[in-house]
Amino acid sequence: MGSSKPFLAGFTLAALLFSVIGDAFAADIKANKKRGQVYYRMVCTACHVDMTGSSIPPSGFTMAEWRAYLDADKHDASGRTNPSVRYYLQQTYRESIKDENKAAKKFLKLPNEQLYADVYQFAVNGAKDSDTPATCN
Amino acid sequence: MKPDPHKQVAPSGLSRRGFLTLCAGAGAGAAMPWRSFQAAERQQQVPAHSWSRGEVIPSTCNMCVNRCGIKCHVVDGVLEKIDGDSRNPKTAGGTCAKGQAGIMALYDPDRITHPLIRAGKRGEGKWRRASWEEAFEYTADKIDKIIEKHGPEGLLFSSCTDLTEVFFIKFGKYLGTPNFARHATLCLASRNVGYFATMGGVPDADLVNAKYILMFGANRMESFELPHNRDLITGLQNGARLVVVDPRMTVTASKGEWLPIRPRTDMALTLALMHVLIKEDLYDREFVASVTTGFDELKAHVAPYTPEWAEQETGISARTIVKMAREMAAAAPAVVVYPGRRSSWYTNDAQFRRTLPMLMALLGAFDTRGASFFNAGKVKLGSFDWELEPVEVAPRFDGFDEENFPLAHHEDGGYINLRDNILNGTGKNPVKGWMLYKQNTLASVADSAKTLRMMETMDFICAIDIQPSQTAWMADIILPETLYLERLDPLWTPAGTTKYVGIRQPVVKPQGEAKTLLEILQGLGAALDKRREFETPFADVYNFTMEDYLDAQLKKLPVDRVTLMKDGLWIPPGQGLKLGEYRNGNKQFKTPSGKIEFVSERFRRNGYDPLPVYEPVVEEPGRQRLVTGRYAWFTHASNQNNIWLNSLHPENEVWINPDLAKEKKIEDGEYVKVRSPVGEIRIMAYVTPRIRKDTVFITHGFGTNSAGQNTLYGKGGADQALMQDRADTISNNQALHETFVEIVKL
Repeated sequence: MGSSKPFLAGFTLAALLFSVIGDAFAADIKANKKRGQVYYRMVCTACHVDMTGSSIPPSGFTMAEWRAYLDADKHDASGRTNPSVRYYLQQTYRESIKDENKAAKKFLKLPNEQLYADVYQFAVNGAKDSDTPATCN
Repeated sequence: MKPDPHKQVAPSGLSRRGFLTLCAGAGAGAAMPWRSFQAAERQQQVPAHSWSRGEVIPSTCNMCVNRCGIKCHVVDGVLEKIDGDSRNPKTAGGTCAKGQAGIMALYDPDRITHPLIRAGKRGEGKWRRASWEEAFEYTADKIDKIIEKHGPEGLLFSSCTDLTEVFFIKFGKYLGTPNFARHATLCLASRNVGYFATMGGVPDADLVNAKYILMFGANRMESFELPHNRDLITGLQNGARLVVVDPRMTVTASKGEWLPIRPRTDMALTLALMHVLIKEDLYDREFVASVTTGFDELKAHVAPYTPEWAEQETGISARTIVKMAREMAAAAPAVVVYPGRRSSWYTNDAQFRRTLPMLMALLGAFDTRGASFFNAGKVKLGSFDWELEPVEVAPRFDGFDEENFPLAHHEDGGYINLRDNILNGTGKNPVKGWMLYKQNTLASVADSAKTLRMMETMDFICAIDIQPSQTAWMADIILPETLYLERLDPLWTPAGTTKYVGIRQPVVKPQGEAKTLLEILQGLGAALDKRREFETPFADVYNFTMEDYLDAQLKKLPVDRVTLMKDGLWIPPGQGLKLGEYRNGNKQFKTPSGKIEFVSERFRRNGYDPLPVYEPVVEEPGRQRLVTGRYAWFTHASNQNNIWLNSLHPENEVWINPDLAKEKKIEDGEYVKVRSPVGEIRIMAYVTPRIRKDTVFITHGFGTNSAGQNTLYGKGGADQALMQDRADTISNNQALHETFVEIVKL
């Protein structure tokens, strides 16, 4: 997910329009924020710290920014990593890291859309303008 | 080796009398006498003693939550003396009476040193000694039966703040219960919610350089934050003006100007102060324009809250209020509007707490010298690689969740709420098992008779503790934990102006058969693993040593465990607090707007008044409002049974204004009855002009029901037996100052 600037670079009007999709999608699946928290911290944060030396807490951005980012599904515009957020939440990715990552192993069988909803809810609920800003710790 | 409790002498030979002399010379701010603060000031002239015998082992105190650095003098395996660690940047060599009396916590003849299983009725005091093996099997069997019948959500885990608390909470999580209750809603939850909504966090205070310090009820001189005591004393020596708003003249109030406010009207004063600052154009226009939002709405909101109106509410003259506002403005920005700590006062407490940072913001008294500021953060300790907890757990049984208390910290739970749910049967699931870790609920939660009724509904109660506290006394089994002087704890790092890593390590061997919490949970986990299959077996979770845990914490730091144990602390290079980052816009507040919000967006969107609205006070004629608080030598309800500390203050008393005493023909020192709608106690009267006539004060932690607390039993009265169970409507913080009592001459 790159450093914070490339992380959010590439926001477009189109991305903002997609935010509606995210909310509708969230309504279909009952998200488990706790599971999203575990995956976010053990997979997303761990990788970010390894690659960039710093984490990106949910409280680093607003709820609107998180919705726009996740709905646009643009992980990293730099080309160094996969450009899709969803890529990192898919079973195939979890399978590839399961031996060294407990969260990927634990949630290996979880449907992609379910895990996406879980992480989505954790990030948005933990945004800096939310009622419960969350850190990476 | 234990002391003779009657002689009150420790194994070192240090007597009660010696202790009194020692603690008078150390920790000047903490040395507060029972009856006369003038006497304390005389005692402070006594020079501190030094102790040169024995091996000196550095560690971290645990007689309160402040975690001061200590040096322990050990001779032939016996702890003889505890001093402050002069290298510790937080405490700078100071230690208070409680810190020194850690010796008597260690050698307390009432201490539980082997497992005890109840052999009579609950509270009857009949116990039988058990082996650890039996204790683990017994406890595991009870837990297993509750899970079998009610699921893991049939268990409630209650704990008090400590470095090891994480192990206890994790244990509950691995069992799969969502039901936890921690210390916050007994203490500071409303303050946290109010400040969080307004400015995204609770700031620290530069008391040393402040020119004007305003405290609402905060009693620094008798509380447990030694660094703040020292800073406050230094600030006063530097010429700071201290104004303490409190219906009772505390020792802190005695060091400055005491404003004996009518209880529950504090918000009237803060609103009126803001009124004057705005009306007289005394506020910091630049700060307000650049760092805050909602000023125009605030201006309109406080317009009716005039000093004359506030005088009628608070009993503080309009002239004084105007003078205060002008003096604060003149001193600004070097003004501290002190956040306080225990804010479990009233049912509108979160709203009142919001007015403190609002007042601070109008004065521009933030992020600059002599004002409030956000700390620079902590040393980043490494994380221990825990096994994953179950994530698919039932919702909390008591509805303490995002829907009902959207701004509360839900994992902390709320005692008032959960107790009602258990007693009324309105919880989502029946809770039948209660695991307690050093949580003395009977002495800490309002209306102790109601807590007893709740306990009667439990199939099983297990207390992990060092002493037979009031609550442990009512348990089915007590598992004795090692004291802080006997064990290695997780490392800690404070949020302060100076960053460091501190260690708590064993200085003597455990007394009797006491085990560390980690050892207790390992044993209990193994017994549970035999009975049922958990998502993650306990054998996999707790298969580490405390040394492993510390090594993980130190993984990325340039200091190792052995060095830390030798030195007692590690101070990283590159210290320093950079002020001005919020004022110049480089940093944003953790609020929806990124600014200090006079109009709280978080309150607005959750249906709370976005600006604090004053609620007129309703009083009960012929009765007094009961308030509680502390003396310097006691922490909560945890060490009133300590022989040395008890000798400083053998029993508590009810503070009564002389005019009220005269009306009721009550003499100083005679016993009276104090009666409330929920309870009645017999207690000694302390007739003093240091309290308003409409208010009475009773300190905490006396009137124990535990005959196992031999030093304390039969002395004083329990404030919690009188207090009605009210709570702040937003945070669910219990509201301890909402009860009216009747004083009856015996």
